[in-house]
Amino acid sequence: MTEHDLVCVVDDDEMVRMSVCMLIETLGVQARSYANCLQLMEDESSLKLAGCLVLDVRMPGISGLEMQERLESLRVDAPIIFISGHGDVPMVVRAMRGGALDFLQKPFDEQLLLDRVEQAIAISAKRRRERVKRATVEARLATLTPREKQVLEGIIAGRQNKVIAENLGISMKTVEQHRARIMEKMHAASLAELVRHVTELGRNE
Amino acid sequence: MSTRRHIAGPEDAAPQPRGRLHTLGIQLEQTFLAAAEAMLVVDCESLSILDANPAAGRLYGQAPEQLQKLGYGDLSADSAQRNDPIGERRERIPLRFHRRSDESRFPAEIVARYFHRDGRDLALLSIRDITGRTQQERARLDSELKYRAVFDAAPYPIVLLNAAGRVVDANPSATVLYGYPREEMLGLNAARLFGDESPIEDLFSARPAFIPATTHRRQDGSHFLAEITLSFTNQRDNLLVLAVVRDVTDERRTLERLREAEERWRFALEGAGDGVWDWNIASNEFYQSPRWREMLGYDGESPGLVWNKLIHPDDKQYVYGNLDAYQRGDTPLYQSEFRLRCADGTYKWFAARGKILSRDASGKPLRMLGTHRDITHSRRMMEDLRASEQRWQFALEGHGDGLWDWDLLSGRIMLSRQFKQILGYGSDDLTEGFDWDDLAHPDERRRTRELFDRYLAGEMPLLAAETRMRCRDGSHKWVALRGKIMEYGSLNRPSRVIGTLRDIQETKQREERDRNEQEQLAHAGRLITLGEMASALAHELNQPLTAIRNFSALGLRRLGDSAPEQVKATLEIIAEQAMRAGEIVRRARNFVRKGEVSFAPVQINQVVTDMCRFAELDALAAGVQIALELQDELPPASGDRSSLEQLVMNLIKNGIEAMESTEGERRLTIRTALGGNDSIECEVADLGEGLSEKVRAGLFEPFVTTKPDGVGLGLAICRTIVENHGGRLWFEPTRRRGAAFRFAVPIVRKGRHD
Repeated sequence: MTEHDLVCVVDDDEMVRMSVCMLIETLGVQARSYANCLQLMEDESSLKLAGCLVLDVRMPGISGLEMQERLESLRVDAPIIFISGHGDVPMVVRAMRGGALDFLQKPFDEQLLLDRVEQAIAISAKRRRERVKRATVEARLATLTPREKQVLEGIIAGRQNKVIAENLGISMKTVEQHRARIMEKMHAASLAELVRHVTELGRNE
Repeated sequence: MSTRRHIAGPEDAAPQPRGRLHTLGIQLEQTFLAAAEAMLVVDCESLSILDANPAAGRLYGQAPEQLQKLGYGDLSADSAQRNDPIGERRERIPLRFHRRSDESRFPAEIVARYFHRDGRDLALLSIRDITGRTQQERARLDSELKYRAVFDAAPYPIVLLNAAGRVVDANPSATVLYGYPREEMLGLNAARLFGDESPIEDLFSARPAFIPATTHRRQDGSHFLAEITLSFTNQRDNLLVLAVVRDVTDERRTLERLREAEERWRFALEGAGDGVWDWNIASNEFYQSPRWREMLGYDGESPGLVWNKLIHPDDKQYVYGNLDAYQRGDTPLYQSEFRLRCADGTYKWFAARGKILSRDASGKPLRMLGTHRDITHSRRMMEDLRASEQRWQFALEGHGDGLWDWDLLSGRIMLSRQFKQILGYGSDDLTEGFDWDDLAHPDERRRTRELFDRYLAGEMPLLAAETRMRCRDGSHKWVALRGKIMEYGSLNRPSRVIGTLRDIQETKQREERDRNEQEQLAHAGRLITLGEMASALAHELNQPLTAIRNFSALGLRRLGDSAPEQVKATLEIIAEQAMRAGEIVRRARNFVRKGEVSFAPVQINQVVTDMCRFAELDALAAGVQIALELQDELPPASGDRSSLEQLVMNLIKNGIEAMESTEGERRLTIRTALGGNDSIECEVADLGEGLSEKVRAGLFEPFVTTKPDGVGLGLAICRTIVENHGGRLWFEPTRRRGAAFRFAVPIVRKGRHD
């Protein structure tokens, strides 16, 4: 269990949200309940921490689907599980397209929900880890000098030291020195590791 | 007769050359000898025959010399009557029978002339054998007797007059008629009987004549009317006039009465303005009443004026057609309408009616009697009417209406071309011998007939019916029939109805379509309501079911393995039953929804205006005015049209109902506008009492209602619909008065619906 294992549950029906929260808590995960989406939006810290959002589709005010669209722009990366009294195909399609993890019809098999919640937390955790990793790589990249960055680009492009030296108008020796510095700054054990870190960063952007 | 004159010659001449020669003069002697007539000279005293001519010799069968030896008496066959006439110097000697030498007898007609010579009285006798004549006389006498019998027995009065105009004879009928005894009547002057007016001179014109009725006089001085037919006869050199008298008093009286009656009729007819005529067909004589002449502008008697010479050339064939048809017996009465030329050369229209008065033995009409009526005026009016009818026809047909003209007396229905066209008939179809029944749809026949009957009975001011009629191709078409009585006949019964026919097939079909649509809409409304209700219920039920399921599952988890089996099993059953209940709700909902709602672009403004149209009646009944404030050129919303219609309808109905007890203005305002987040917002605002805090709290909960007879699903359903569209429905609390509900639905975005 980590500090990120928080699940936010939004349902206008008190008994539903209470039961869902209590079920989720059997997983040893913290669950917070909200009566409507607006309340959740206002609880920004929880939103940032949450590893999963369980949303009712049909609610007064902002509906679950609308909430999904808004969260996208807020870069909340907790996966969403929709629970709904009834699911029309267009509604389900819209939800899944928006990146929902699942769409459960009420009443649902609680085990299914719990499985999905665990899955969501795992995804969420992975996303967080990647984000941390990316942040580390970025921070390390930030320590490189402009010249080192140029040499790094050459390395990533798979060029030989000789070619890089020629392109930059410097000596082979200098290139080798930059390379050693880069490996050190980027905490890379091998050339392959270095290339993987940097390319993963570029893919995620 | 000529022989008589011959004899008269010496009769006249004899006294002049008296006393010459022996017995006669020389000249006479020669005549005497040459005469064909037997002649004798007899001494009046001695009756001895002094001389005899040769003709006498031939007559008596002896030589004249022989005869001179005889006496005149010797010649007579009857000795008893020997001397007398000559002794008496009679010129005509009555009929005697003389003897010839052979003793044969003959009737002798003797004329004597007497003269004196030589102291002696002599007689010149001319003797004629009239055997042939006496035979004729006898025959005549027989015949006369016969005629006499006829004369006396004749039932009609006959008066015999002589040339002097005196009555010579009268038969018993005549004596009875004139009231005279026979003897007193004889010798009367004809004028005494026949009256002074009678043209007596006609009696003697010696040819058959007829004297029309004049006043005759009886002996007692009384008068009577009689006609006389005259014939003439010569009887023994006497001219006789036979007057057959016919008392016509009674006949005249009858005739007079007839004439009076005729006058009365004529007066009646002429009083009605009709001219009376009497036409002798054979002679083409034409009697006209003064009124008849007056109508045609003729003054006084106009001989030679015959109606058929005045017929307008164009009408001749028609008139004679009518006349022939009548004379053949095809029509019971001669009737015709035609123009006659007036005195001034112009033409006038006349209506003729006539009847045959007499026919000859072969049945050929001889005489016709009838009237002519001046119908120029009515004819002109008719023509004006026809012209105006034509104008109307033109106007009506220009409108696409067909026309019909129904003669109730003959049952004939005339249809205009347009009428036939509407039903697909050609102009040659439906001309004769059909009835409304033939055109009416079998299902409508009875109703149509009843309608006609009711209209003709005066129960309705106008005949108006929408009915189906048979087209030429056998199909039926909806038409609007309208009609009005144009003419009344005897007993004031309708005799003619004119009307129009309009093609309302399309209107009817549209009406039917509209009605079907409305029914479908109502049906759909019910289904939608049911669907939305199920949807709303599903949601509301699913929430507690979810809670039950979750809590039972939670219980199981919390109990863990240590829990008694019975408790765990119970909780498991609860959890399963919650799922089962959820499944039932879902199935019910899917059943009424029949699959998924398909979203398509929907114009909210269109939905609003359509629903206002349907709610119009409710609004009118509640005295509510609906005001629309719709934003132009709104993009289409993404949604299910019927659901959105249901939504808008519910809100409108709620609004109208909210103002049921509102004093003052009752207005429902519906606004549309582009909202935030690519949505369209629609607001329905009433001016009712508004909503209390308490009501607002449970506003969208199902089965919560402020209406005494409400179910409380209206707004719940509305919310379900809006949310199914991914939209929102809420209550706007900012109104000073009344309540406003607003919903927002998303507009169409690319890639939303696939």
